[in-house]
Amino acid sequence: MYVYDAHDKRIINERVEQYRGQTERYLAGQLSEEQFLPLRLQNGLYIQRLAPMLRIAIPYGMLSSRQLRKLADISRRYDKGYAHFSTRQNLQLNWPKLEEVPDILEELAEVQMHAVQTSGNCIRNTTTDQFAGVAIDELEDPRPYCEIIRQWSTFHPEFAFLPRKFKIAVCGSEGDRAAIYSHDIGLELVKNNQGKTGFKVIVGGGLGRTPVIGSVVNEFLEKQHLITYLEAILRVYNRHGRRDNKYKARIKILVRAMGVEEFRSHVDKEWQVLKDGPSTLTDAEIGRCKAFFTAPQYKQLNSIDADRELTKQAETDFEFSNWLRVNTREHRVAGYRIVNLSLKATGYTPGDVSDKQMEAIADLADRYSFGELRSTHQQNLVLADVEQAELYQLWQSLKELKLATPNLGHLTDVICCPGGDYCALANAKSIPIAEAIQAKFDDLDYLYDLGPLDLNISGCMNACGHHHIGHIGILGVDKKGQEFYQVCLGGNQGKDASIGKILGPSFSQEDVPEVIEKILGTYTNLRTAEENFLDTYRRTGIEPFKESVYAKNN
Amino acid sequence: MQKIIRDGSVTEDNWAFAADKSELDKLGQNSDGIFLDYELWLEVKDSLNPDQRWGVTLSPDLDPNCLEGELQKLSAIAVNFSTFMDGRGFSQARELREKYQYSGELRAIGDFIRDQLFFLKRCGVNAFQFSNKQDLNEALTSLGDFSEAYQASATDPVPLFRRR
Repeated sequence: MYVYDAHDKRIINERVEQYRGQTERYLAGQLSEEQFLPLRLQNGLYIQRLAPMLRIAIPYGMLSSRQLRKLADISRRYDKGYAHFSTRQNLQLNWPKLEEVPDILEELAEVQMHAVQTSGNCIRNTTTDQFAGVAIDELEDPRPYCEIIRQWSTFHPEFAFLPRKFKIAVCGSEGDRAAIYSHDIGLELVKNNQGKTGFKVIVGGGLGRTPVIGSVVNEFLEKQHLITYLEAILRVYNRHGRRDNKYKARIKILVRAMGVEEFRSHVDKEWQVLKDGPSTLTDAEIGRCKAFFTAPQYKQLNSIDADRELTKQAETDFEFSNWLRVNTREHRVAGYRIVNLSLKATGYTPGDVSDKQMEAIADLADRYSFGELRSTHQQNLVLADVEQAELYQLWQSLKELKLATPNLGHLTDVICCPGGDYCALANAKSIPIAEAIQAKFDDLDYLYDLGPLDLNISGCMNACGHHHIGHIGILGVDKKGQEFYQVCLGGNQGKDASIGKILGPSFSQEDVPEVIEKILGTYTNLRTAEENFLDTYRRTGIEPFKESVYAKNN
Repeated sequence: MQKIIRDGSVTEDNWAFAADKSELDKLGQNSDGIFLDYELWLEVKDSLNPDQRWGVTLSPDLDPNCLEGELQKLSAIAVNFSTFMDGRGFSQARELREKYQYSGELRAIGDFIRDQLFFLKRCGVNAFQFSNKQDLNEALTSLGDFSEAYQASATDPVPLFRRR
């Protein structure tokens, strides 16, 4: 993990003092609402339906056990004893007091955490693959570059008042677990024909009101040019992005309006001025950042023995075998396994954790995974480096904590925004929909038979639940003052990303679980032996699903 | 006369803003310099009194290249913030300093707020003329909000990673 030096500490401490001063001036009436708004947003503070919401940054999803304990403590002392993991790897507190936020930020700074630029018209948290560093399909660890981008984007003086928010994601593996085609800038580590590693640069992806798959603006950017090239893109956006209409202000609109060719030539023109300047990355700096993400002290384990033991345990304990198969993943080091902690237990808000759970998870991280864990944009957590021999014991602890629901990547591993229960922007509640679906489809055999299925729920068009890229997406809409739900099918994240297609007219809250049931029934009727839901949908199109859902009942 | 912040301190300033051609002679007698809107300046630039000091006011939509080749004639450029949320002025300032090596005064005018001073300074703005009743001595403290920064800027061309 990245560890702050004196420079980093000074910068973050000065930020806390700056914000404390701004809060005091605001409370004293010296800053208007309008003036205070961007200042508090860029320190993570939203004003919501019921209470302010504080979004704490978890840079590219990496957390230490010490940081998690502090988060647990803060949630207990400043909030109601729980917190929510967001779809961009951040953590949200739902009930902080505005006047206490400077104190919260000061305490976060003690463990090298902050809420910098987690909201506002600026560059947000750079996110990445939750399996970075341990995935078997990894080309190169994206995290050093995420840290480089984090530092470059933090308090960037030119880009703090952009037309709109700006989100960057980095992928370093074959599979894209960072949704790089749905970000303002997606960066993919790739190898060119000469065997050199660089970045494929994708610009203008996004969800929200106008979902778009990003366009490749540069097929291969050499590593040392990363910062200067990003600056060129941001400058083009800052200067030319629309500022007349909040809903047309993202870079995706600009890329569409200009066309990729013209956009690329604008970027190249700006880049010529910056290229090879002092912001060109040095081998020393790349090396320095890489040094924070070296492999932990892995043991030399005999994987054959470990596998044999594991198989035996799985054979004797059916529950364990489900969890092992569904919630754990292969690790690039022999004898180790990646463990996913499901925050999607039936009857609990997706993505939420209590203070006690957080502290227990911190202990488990210390005991089983070198004191580190990751947050995922699917609102789950990861213990990345668990010895196979310890899986059974870990699983038993997780079960007790209700963190072992064996549904990862399946229907009830729902991605769900806070929705109308919390959020002032929502058209409808999302959490009750998630809970109803989880309750209805809690039969594991059925879940596994359905196979991998991404169900994403957003309470409004802002799409914080990423419903456009769910295999099944649900969108809350306001129909004549009532909460209704629109369903879309066939979205996908990853490198063959797609945007979901709307099924038809919206449904009432009570009807949604049955609608889902009909959709699933159509799939199981039409699928071939090897097809998962997305495969079948892409083969048959939307018609058969439409028919089964909207057919008149006899 | 107004009070502004220039080069890190509060100072009296006697620059004027000309609304149209007819004011130029009169203003020229009583002011240290005259700012002209870009369109007006285009009209009169070749007939300006060289003994007078001239400046141009840039609206947010203008590309600084519109002043290319003429910068040496301009003692000052005013970056006009129509609203403090419109961040184009930051890019304008930075480009004037870095791309075009402009060395005259860069003055922020219009609707910007005290909390933007540190970033504006880093983008190369060295003078601040507030349009509201901002206490300038209090605003000065915001200029020093941070003692360190990560990335290169107009005032700090060498990024932190090269200095660590």
